[in-house]
Amino acid sequence: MWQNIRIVLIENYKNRYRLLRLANYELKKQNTETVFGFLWNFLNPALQIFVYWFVFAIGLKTAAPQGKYPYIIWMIVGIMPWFYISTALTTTMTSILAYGGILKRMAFPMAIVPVKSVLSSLISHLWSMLVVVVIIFASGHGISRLWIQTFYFMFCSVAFLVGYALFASAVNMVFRDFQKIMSSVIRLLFYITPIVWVQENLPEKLQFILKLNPFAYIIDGYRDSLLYGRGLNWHWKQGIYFWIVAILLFIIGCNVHMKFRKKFIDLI
Amino acid sequence: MEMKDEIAIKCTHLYKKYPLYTGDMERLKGLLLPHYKPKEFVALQDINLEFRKGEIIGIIGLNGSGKSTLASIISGITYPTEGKIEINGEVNMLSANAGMENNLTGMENIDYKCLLLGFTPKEIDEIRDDIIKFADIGIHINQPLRTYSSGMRSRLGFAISVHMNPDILIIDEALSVGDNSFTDKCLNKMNEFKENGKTILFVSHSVMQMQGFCDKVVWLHQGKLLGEEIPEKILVPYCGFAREINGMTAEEKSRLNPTLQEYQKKYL
Repeated sequence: MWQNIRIVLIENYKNRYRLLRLANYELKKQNTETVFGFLWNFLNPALQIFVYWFVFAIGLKTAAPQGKYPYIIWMIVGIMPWFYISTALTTTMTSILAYGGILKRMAFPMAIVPVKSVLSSLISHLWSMLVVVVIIFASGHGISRLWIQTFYFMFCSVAFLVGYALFASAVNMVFRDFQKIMSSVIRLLFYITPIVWVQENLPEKLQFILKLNPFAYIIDGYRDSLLYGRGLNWHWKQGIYFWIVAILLFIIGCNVHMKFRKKFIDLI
Repeated sequence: MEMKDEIAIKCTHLYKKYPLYTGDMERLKGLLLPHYKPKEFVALQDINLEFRKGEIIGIIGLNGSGKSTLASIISGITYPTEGKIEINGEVNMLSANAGMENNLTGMENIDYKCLLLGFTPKEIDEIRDDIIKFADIGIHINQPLRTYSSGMRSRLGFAISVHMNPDILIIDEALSVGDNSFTDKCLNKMNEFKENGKTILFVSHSVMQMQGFCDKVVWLHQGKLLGEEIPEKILVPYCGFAREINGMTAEEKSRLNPTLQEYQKKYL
């Protein structure tokens, strides 16, 4: 079991350079051939944010919690990490399958493939967070040193997503239905995670159940750091729970990946 | 010639079996249940081979004889079902089409494919001009790959692959990608590898190319090793065999159990 984890870690460390550059290329590939190119990384989310804002703030009249910030800023800070997480959840799943042509023709360190997909989503997320920070600042709210915490929550998301990516990409090779199941799960996650609507009016029991969703910790964390100036101790119980889940998922992910990796090529 | 005594590749009792699943449900069962045994296709059967460092070995056989399977096992892309394989040194498979992206330009593809192959940016800078010169596709190098003709594509892919520097090089049908002048260029490159003492495994249908180039030829038929000999003693019998099989019905072919001695007697 530990041996499997070691192999995955070593393979990624040894190829760290290749990993990063490939993640970059993955982004580049998506936007070539379009006139606006890199701008689409911002335009697409902007359009979606407008739609959600229209539905929830104008249509359903959802108000943001703790009146200091308008709904739109509260929503943007939550939805940006979600865009990144949901992209990573979707693309990592098929990462090994999509690399089939390459894996079949060259001996390639397979453990870096799912990790590369996580990193490429993260890179585009870093850019969009830059825009978010500018928006908060431009709307007249000051900079706080707690903003640094955002990097901790990014690290949390990477840790969780890497475990998931190793697991999901391997399972999807064996059981292609997994893709279909996950796309529904991701849609559901969007509504049960505190992204576009305020959950604080719900009964406590239900709130507790919703907090078991590991992504709630990350999204709440982004808001606590960027908007409410709350330290990490605010959600420390949720934090411990999150890390237990993330580490378990990573252990499972590495083992499932190693168990099936010798068969991947014959399954493509 | 001390080097010649060192073993580069050693296969002992090598088997490769592919399960023939009739459906997705069966595939899932086959992968998860340890005792579930579907029908199998035996791609390689009890292969015992030993190649020394610096040897140039040709692998010949009809379609479906297991040549490519053997090549991908040796290159570490896929794994044997039974038996052992020992490799001394770094192996690389020369592949013209793997890792080429349609939406990237020729130039970008050079970077991308080199990256996949594990080159550092400094190494890429060093070989880039050589690659461009070798591919010799003129102004198209700055156009997206999807506008390339299949010949141009392969030329570029091959030019990149040929700049790898492994100890053991595997060439699987890759020399027939371009026109005659390009093939000559490739053969010259191969001779250069040969002079540098590389071990080369050459999978091909081209008896002509093997004749002048290989030290030894291995003949595979339906996953079985019929024999290994110097080219003169194996290529003529093989050609005779290939001609004979042309006139046979499927049933006659399946009943056939050729031996090397039989065809050597007949054609030498």
